[in-house]
Amino acid sequence: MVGEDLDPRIGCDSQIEPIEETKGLEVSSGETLKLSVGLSNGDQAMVEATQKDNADLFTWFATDLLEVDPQVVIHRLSIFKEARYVSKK
Amino acid sequence: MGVDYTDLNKVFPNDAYPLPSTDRLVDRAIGNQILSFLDAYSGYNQIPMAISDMIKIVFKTKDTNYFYKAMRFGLKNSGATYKRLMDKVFSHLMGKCVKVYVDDMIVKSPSHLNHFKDLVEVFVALRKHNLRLNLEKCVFGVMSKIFWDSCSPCGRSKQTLKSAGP
Repeated sequence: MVGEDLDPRIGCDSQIEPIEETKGLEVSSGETLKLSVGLSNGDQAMVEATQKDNADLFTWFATDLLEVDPQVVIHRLSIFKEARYVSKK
Repeated sequence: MGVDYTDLNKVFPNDAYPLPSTDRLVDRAIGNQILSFLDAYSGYNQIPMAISDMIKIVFKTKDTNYFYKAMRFGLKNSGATYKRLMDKVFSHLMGKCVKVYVDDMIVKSPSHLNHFKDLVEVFVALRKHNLRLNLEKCVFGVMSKIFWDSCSPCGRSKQTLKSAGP
């Protein structure tokens, strides 16, 4: 079993990205918001306002992360009954 | 830091939950007027591990043994579990204004006015499930009439797609 079978993102830096030109806009929290240069001033203000209203969703530290409710999703391993312990070399 | 789960991964079956194809995702996004790309902040670590399985992903350091409480990247079925969560979170928006590829989300709308409404709806769904985003990796308000790069999951076959519209 190699990396790419395990997880589609292992060993890759790339993600889906627009190649359209973007620019940074500093928001009140000091972080940078990336948006398209093609937006009108009005739309830009809307993006800024929408992000600001939802600032709590943009976290910067792992400690800020909350866990998803285990009732919604949980990761199980379902290990085969006949599986044996293996000692790692 | 990484833990090698090669041996562990051999002893449980593959989760057959379907993972999306990037090409299809990009194809569908073409034709919409405005898009935003959202990235979940270390998405995988937001999913809890089953308590009975935490002990199986234990690792040793010089003086203590630790186990993870959250799902790990290197486990065989992590991608499938994440996709399952995304499908639940966005069940009411999938095919309407949201497309998901692993922990990248694309919000797409036919008009600028709708886009802000759609973004708010997406934010509401994320908040409801305690999910968080990485602002650094989000890009807002991209016009889809312009081409963009589509990378295969591991960037192996890079190709440029062009809008099919007039």
